[in-house]
Amino acid sequence: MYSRFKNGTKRTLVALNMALKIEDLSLKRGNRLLINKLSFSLNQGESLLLTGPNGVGKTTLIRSIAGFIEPISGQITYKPEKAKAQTDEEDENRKECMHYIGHKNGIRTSLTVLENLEFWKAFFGANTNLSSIIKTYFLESLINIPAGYLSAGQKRRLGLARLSISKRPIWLLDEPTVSLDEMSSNIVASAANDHLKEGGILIAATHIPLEIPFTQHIQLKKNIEQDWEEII
Amino acid sequence: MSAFFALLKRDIALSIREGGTIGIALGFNLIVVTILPLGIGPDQNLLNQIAPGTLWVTLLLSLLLSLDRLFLTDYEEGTLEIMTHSETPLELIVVAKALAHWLTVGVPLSLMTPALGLLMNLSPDQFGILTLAALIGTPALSFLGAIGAALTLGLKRGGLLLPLLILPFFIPTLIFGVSSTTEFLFASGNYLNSLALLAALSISSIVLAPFPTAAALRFNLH
Repeated sequence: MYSRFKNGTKRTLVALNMALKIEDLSLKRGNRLLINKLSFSLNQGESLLLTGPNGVGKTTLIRSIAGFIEPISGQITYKPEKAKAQTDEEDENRKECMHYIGHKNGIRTSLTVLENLEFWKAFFGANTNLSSIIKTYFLESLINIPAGYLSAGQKRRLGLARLSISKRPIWLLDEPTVSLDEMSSNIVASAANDHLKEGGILIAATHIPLEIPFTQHIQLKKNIEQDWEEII
Repeated sequence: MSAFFALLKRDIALSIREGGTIGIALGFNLIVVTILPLGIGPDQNLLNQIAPGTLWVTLLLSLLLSLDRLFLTDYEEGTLEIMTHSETPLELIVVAKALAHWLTVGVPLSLMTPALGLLMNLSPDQFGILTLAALIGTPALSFLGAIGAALTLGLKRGGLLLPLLILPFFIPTLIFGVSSTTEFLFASGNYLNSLALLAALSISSIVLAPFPTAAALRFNLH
């Protein structure tokens, strides 16, 4: 299903029956314990909505799944269900299977919209058709404009277009619809729905309702006692 | 490897388009070498004698000026963290970026040394060795400098800390760069030995420096 896993034997198994498992995950930011022994798992085609007040750890959780933050305890595993115990090599592979959309859009402002898209296409070694992506994300009239001149919402759309450039089984979206208008939010939602239909996994943190039928919902709560203990 | 060449191409294009990095490095080098003889005075023999050392020191400083931008924009705009999510190892990404830096800053700086040599009263038959030594020596500066650029990435005003961290590592290149040029000018030894050592420094930097650089980048992305 995922054409990018075309070379190498170990990669061919990744496309089938995979699950993302989070077990007893605890995360710290500075001295504060943000996530305490969180567990969940997502199978193919399943999606998770993360909500909670600001500063509760949504971004930290997503960044730790993306591999940027080391958990203080617990495990994040991503592998076919029947595979044996996880090796380091598989964990390295986890990053290649993910699209992470964070607060930053990941576009170079001196490059034009088209150059940005072309760069990511070449960088990921993808063979997608850029013109259809440009159409889907409503970027046709902008392709020759340097990305620095775009509005915040247009920049976000350009950043999100990366999701469609190379196919990857896991999408991690941190506030994907920030500064997007309603029509652009719907583009994201329909791209996400297509992704799920194809058997992808999606984790999204958002405050704005998205037209995605999430299969799981985790509401993170502020753990005031815990904070207090840490401060004392 | 497609990612390597895509990144190399993009960085060279960006560097030419944004212009600031190359312009500042070349302009700084030119202005320092221009005002130096004004300060030292019109003693042509003295100028000729201090020319190799002066040109190498200003070359190092000009190159340093451009180093803090090496990863900074990609870090700030979020492209760096996306690049870590690819099949391409971060070490190779570092090589592409440092190589692009050398091609867009190190090479132009080396090629401008004859013009600066003229200001320092070097005769034209000495320009060749100066440019050659600079071309052989500057890759070490770009690759070693990448370590410093990666270490100071998350810091406000990291550009000021960078020279303190990284200049000591430039000393071997400075020593053999200057000695190759003086040995050629004053026929006091075999300048080829110094050139070979310069090349050795550059090659070992290209091979070894990407590892600490990638480690520092990973740390700063946490």
